[in-house]
Amino acid sequence: MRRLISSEFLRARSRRVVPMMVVGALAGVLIGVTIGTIVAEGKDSTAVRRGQRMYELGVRRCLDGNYGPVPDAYASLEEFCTEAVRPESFGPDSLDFFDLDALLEGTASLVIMLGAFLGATLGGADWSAGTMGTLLTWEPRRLRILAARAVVVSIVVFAIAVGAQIWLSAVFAGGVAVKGSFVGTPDGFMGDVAISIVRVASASALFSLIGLAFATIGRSTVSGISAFLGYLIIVELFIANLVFVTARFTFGRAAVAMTSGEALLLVNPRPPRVDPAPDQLEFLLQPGRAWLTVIGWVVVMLLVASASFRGRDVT
Amino acid sequence: MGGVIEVEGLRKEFRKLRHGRTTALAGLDLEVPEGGVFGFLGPNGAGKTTMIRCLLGLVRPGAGRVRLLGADVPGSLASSIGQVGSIVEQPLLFPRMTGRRNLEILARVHGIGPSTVDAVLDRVGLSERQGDMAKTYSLGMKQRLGIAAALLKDPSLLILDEPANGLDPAGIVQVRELIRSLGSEGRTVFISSHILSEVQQIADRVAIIARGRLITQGSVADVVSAAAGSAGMVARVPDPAAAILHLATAQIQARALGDTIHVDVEPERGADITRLLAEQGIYLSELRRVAVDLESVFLELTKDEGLA
Repeated sequence: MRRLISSEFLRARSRRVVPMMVVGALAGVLIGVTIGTIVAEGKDSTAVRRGQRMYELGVRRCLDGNYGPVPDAYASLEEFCTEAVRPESFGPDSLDFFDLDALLEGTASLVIMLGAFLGATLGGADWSAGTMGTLLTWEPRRLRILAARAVVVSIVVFAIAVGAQIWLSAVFAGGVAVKGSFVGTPDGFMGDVAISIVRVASASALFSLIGLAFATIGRSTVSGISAFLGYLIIVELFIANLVFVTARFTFGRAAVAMTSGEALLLVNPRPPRVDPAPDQLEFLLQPGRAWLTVIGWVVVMLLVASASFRGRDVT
Repeated sequence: MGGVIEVEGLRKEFRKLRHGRTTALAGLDLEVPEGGVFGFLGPNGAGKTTMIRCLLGLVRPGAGRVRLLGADVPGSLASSIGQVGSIVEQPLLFPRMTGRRNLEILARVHGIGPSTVDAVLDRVGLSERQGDMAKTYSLGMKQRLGIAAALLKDPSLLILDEPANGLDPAGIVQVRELIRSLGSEGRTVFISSHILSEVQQIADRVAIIARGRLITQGSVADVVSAAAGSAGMVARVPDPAAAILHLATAQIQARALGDTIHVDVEPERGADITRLLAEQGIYLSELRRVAVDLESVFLELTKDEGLA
């Protein structure tokens, strides 16, 4: 098994698509953050003074009654204006390092898609090139091949996802150093960032196994990626919205809760009109349940892929 | 039984989307003894590649028994696969990897080191092109790389499906020499081929199959001489039509073959032909056995299959 895994690592390393995707992701991050840095305003004294003036103007307009009648929840116009007009809304639009966590969370869906595509391409390459027959004349135990491939794909994708996010963090820190501020970064922030990176990379590795399973069942990279996208469109967009109870079992929604580490409120867009039960209106998807959902999908998909791989002839 | 390849009653059917089922193997029996070169012949669609796929566990037979180097296939194939090198149909490679990298990936599966990779590349004459992407290789070079991959395990049994496919004449000679030398090293080389003249030159034994069944099997000399006995004789006469007529009155079948006639008798009855025709004033200027080679035997044995 160790030799087979070593061979699979060499195969993955030798595939052109891997460095292409890595370079593409790194370049995309660099370009994106560079543009963001150029567009961002610096926190120089002019920008701060301009923000202060805009804030004071906003408060005055509110106190003049331009923001409409005072809602019942507020005791006075002053209290309402203090809440409605926030100073941070008028500050310079600059880069703040404490936004990194939100940035990583925002790019998590891209990292997960990257993982699924890499899983499909690494799992489908042998089928597309027709080399699976050759490999089987070296290792006829098909379950071993699939297991070794699953190990290698998940490790490679995890490593790439961690690397890409570290690169994003480093480039963002560079942008902040040039035109932004590290002020306000809470204690233990880097620890939270590290946990966030590992969480997203783990989710990406799990999704790579789903991509691998799709490619193994479809016996090509194209059918693996097509099946994955088809799932997203048919199940996540249509079925989960039409039949609300299925939404809690979809792995796309689960991915959001997994990567944010926070519960996701699923709201039924078509609730029953007569006596709806509470869980027919909305469902709070907890992160733990989201992880179990995706792990369940991975197990089921790999079992189906194993049965398909073992049961069908290789011609 | 006790050969390196043992096949008993092997059956395989493939489902077709619109045309029901097609039978690729219809109870094939085969035994390949250890050592030497074994030619596996059959017309297109006879089931050669399907049989090879069954041997290597790529295709699951519907019925029958397959043993490879004494191990049941597919159950115990893992125990014998380390001694088997193979090419099925055509060597399939990762086109955007170098020839060497394609071999290294396979070599790692069995813990084979780089020196062996060097040695097999050298043996098939690809050392100088090992660093080039496989997609830049000619068909012949890909074939040689496939043979190199098959040799990596230093196998005692080589299974080569159409190893001369796509090769130019020089390449065919190279592969012929390579197979001959592999066979003389004590290995068993099992080759399926449709280039019968090639097989006749290098094989010690052959099996001919058609429609998924064994037609004949044995040493090349035995198969050819068995067919030669019933191949008939060719006679050159001044008046072929008259000769055919006179032979027919003596219950001997003959047919015109250009300015000669083909007489369907064993060579031992040559004197009878001479006498019968001479009695009618027809004198032979030539009487000889029909020349028989593996190709004519193959065509004769498979003519009823309508596939050759």
